[in-house]
Amino acid sequence: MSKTALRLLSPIMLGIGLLVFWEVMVRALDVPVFVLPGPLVIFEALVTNFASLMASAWATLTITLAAFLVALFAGVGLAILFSRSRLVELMVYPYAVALQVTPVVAIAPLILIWVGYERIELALLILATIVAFFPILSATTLGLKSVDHGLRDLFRLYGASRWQTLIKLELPSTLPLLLTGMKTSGGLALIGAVVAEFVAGSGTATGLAWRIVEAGNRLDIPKMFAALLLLSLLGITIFLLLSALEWALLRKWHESMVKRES
Amino acid sequence: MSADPVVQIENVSKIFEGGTEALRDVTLSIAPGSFTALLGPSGCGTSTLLKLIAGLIRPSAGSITSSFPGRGHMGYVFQDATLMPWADVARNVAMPLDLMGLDEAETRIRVATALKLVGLEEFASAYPRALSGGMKMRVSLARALASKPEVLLLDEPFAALDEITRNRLNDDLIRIAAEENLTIIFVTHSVFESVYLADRVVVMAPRPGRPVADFEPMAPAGRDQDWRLTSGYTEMCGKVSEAVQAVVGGADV
Repeated sequence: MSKTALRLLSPIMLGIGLLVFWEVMVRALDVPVFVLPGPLVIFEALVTNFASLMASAWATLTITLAAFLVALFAGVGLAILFSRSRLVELMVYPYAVALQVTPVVAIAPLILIWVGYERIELALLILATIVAFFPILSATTLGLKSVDHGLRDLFRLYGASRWQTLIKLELPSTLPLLLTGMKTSGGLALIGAVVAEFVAGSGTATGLAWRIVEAGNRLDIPKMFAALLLLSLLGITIFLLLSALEWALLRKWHESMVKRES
Repeated sequence: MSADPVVQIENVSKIFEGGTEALRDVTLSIAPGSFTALLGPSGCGTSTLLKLIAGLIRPSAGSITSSFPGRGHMGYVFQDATLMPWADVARNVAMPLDLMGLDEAETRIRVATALKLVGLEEFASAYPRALSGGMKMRVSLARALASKPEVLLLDEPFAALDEITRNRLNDDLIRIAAEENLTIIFVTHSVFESVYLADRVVVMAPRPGRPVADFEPMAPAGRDQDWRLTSGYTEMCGKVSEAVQAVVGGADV
């Protein structure tokens, strides 16, 4: 078996093995469905509630992607501003850290009151953005500070404008760190969206988190698991897409992508 | 010297923030087409002097004038190749031309010419990580040559290379300097390299850096490795070594 096939198949085989074990144990021990449903019952719940779950998944995904994009542009933008003005960095960075270390669950009620329940989507977007923003800001700030000094000198020697330096030197140089920040941020945007939905509570949110709360209240545990499964799949998809982007952008030149003989 | 100097350094001193005095009262004239080696132990301010000449930092006192103001007239090669890892060899070499706004056709021609000068025509599409240390330095040299500079500043460019590669690049540099009629200012810690390469060796004393001796080794044009075996070469190495020893003394270098 080739190494690639082994890499792809081994986690799949383990997953199938665990699912079979789970199903067998649930049946053998006669575990009640409201305690732990088997994989087949969960799949059945997924099929039965497919339309409503997919609509909820779409709602959560929309908030997650929007928050991720806002965090990306705001984080990179602010990091560029920091790199241009040490004073701005000294003034703003502590507040960015404060926002990051304060649990989003604690901020959420305040944001919901300020924005208003009638604009719940905006409140969710703000909360998810707060969670997703910091890794991008921190990674980009570090990247911009780590640009090779020799290359900076050469750009100055050849009279590069600030814009040329940013586009042709600073951003490419920062790219590996930015992509790492984006991978962390992508997952956090989803977590932020879900936490915000939980806090927003019933009657307003329409995402997967609300489906989980709703199913839990009705003791519909298979549906709860089905919603959880979709959330996991969303998170994995975001991570894989960002990993693919990282591979596409870095594979030709970055050390992390170099395959070595071992 | 008969011709007007390409670079004139007048009573230049440099004190960095924090109080480190890197250079004190340096006066030097660099003649057009000359190959000047700045030789000295660590801390003698040679790298600072190159950055001052390039206009990358400002002197604390004194003045530096160049007969070629404006960008593109000076090429700079660092001790490290300092390449952009995300760009292939051709794009690295094209970097100065790109920043100076040259059109694509002219850029292509100049990149090809520069790569030919350093013998890397076949590697235009390679990425830096696929190159050896010597090849990376050749790319760095090609990049410095691409803007067709009048003055080439080299800051210990071959210090990190093995001796065989270093000797080969020394010969390449002599050939390129002659072909392109370049004025070269070359920083090195090696007496042997300075005497082999340069037609003028300026010995610098450390802390603060200042020139203390000036030699003209009379290196023959078109010289090759055989010149290293001549008595003229070894005698000059001896003289320059004595000057270096005199400034270093028993001090830690």
